[in-house]
Amino acid sequence: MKSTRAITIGLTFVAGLYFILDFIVPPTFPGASFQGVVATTTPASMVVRSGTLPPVTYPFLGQGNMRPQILLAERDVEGLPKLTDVPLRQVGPGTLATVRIGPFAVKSVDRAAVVTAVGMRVSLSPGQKWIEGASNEPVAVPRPEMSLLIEQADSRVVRTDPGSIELIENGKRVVHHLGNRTVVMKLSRYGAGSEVQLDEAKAGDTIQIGPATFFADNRDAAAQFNLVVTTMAFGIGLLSLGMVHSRILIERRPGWSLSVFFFAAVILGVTTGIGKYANSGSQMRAFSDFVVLRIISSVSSAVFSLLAFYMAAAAYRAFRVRTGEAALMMTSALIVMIGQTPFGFYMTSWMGERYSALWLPNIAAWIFRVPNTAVFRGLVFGIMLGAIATALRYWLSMERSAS
Amino acid sequence: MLNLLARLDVVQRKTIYIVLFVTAAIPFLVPIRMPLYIWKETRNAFTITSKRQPKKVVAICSNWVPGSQSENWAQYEAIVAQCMITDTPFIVFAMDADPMAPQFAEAINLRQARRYGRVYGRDWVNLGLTRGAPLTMGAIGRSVKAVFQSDFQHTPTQDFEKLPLMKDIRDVRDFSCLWVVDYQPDSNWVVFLDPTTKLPVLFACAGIVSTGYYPYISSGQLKGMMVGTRGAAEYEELLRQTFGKAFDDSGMRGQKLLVPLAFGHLVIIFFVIAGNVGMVAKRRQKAVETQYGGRRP
Repeated sequence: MKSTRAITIGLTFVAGLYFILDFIVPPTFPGASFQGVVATTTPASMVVRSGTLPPVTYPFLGQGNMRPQILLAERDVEGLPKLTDVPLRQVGPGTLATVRIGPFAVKSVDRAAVVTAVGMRVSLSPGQKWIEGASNEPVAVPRPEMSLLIEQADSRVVRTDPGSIELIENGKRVVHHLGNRTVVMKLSRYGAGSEVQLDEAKAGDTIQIGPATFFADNRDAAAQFNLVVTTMAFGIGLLSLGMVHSRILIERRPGWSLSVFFFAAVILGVTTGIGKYANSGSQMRAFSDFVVLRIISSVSSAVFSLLAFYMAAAAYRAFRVRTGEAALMMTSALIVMIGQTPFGFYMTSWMGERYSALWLPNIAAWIFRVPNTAVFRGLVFGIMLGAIATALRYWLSMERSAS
Repeated sequence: MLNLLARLDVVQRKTIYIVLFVTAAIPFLVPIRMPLYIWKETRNAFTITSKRQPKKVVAICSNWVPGSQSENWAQYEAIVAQCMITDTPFIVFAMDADPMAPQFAEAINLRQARRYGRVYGRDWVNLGLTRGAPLTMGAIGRSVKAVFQSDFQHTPTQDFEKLPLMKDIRDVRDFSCLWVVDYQPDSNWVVFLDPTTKLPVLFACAGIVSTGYYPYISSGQLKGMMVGTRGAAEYEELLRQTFGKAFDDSGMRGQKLLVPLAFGHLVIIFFVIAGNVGMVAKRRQKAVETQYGGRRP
């Protein structure tokens, strides 16, 4: 039991530490990063060879769809093969990759070359083939108005050149040769910087370059871990409920009939859930749609609509002007309530555009945008401080319930 | 008179319920049209969604379930109608929502698609449900297909023959805007989906929770908002003004529900005022009784 607790605490701590560091640690190593304004760039390139055929060089230039796309063969959650688009820095000599260029529209075909819609002349190099964009199937002879791709499948990367960039740093021009793990971050005045490819950095852009840190590159893995844990929690919840209710049924405890309803609801829910994947028009799908759109929808909205009656009765009892503050609250509540309905506009629009600031909807909007915003910001700051304190307690296993 | 007014201090709950029910039912029996004032947040959201950008899609996170359908259904249907009229492709998904959420969204998508002749896979894709916010939000921003490897009917998102729309969708840069339709949308979308904050994020929320999003509107992090049934009705009005007869409003719920809602608000306001009048009258009645030694004058 003690070891289970220690494992739980350890896992919680490591997961929490990762997520905290993910936010704190920048995408590039601070000591080894450079920041400046882009003067010039030398594009990156990659040399690829298919079998014994001569190697083909792919320059990475910012020309929209004509920029090479590197695809690595992976398997999805169901074990089916899939191709994942990766940046140049994730491949090296010996990597087995598929390179694609396109899709582009064919304007005309001239012998072995194709003229694209923008007037670019494209021909095949050794190991490359034409792929039809719509069907994703190889095409022997391209035809005009076809959407085409160039593909060099299952080829080995011979070498990669990440390119170089000339930055203006404190008035000096410095050339930086990029490494395989170098990240180029385009900085903006607002928000965080975003990773760009070298050819996407234009003269005048403020960028930061440096070796990639572990955290930014593994965000997707962390997100998937999070997804798996969250989904598992649902499964465990269902299992736990099932165990509790089966015990009630076996022991015939008071209220056991309600446990029968629980299992009936689970069976109905699972059947309905499976039915939604059935083809449109099938009986299974019709059953699923009937349960969800006709039964659950009506029952849920009926239950929710009861709130309107409770709220009306609660407002009648609660909005009593006993103090000055209560009067203020009631006045603003009444303005907001009328201002949100067509009555507010109907009652005050006669004043004309000149006095539109006095229209009830505009007064209600002012209440939302100014006093409400000010109060809410203060409230959120307070809540967040409390949330951080609670989160820290959970993370460090100081919360009683965590044990 | 004072005695009559004092009775308003304690109105029975069932009286309030009956009056509210009857008043809210009137507009369903007698159709009433009322003038609409369109709020700035709704107009901004409409303008942003209207800006069709080549090879970009409108992303919709549709998390609503029947409980909030009186507000979210109308909002979602108005957004879908706008996308379909303007031939703007869109993807829809649910995040940390009820598993039924994609099914509700799809029922509306199909209804609107029949009106405007749109085709699944080419004009819209329903990617189903995912979990794990806010980390998954960031993951969607970096690669849509990595998070959603299949659509809600298990068609792989790499199958461009069945889902040609997915061919051009890689990451957040392929979105023209993000709509989050939920009773209470998760404000983490503002922070995590696009850290560069270039993507306009728009919320469609219930009226009662809208107060919490105005700080984001003021700071410019939220570019627009559709608030409750009112917002949906305004959006429908904008669709009508912009597209005229091309916009088929049959079965649209926004304006249909707004008038009963307004009548309901009036009932609540009436009872709030009545309660206060009753309270004052009762106090005065007591003062008078005290003055006359407990006897009525």
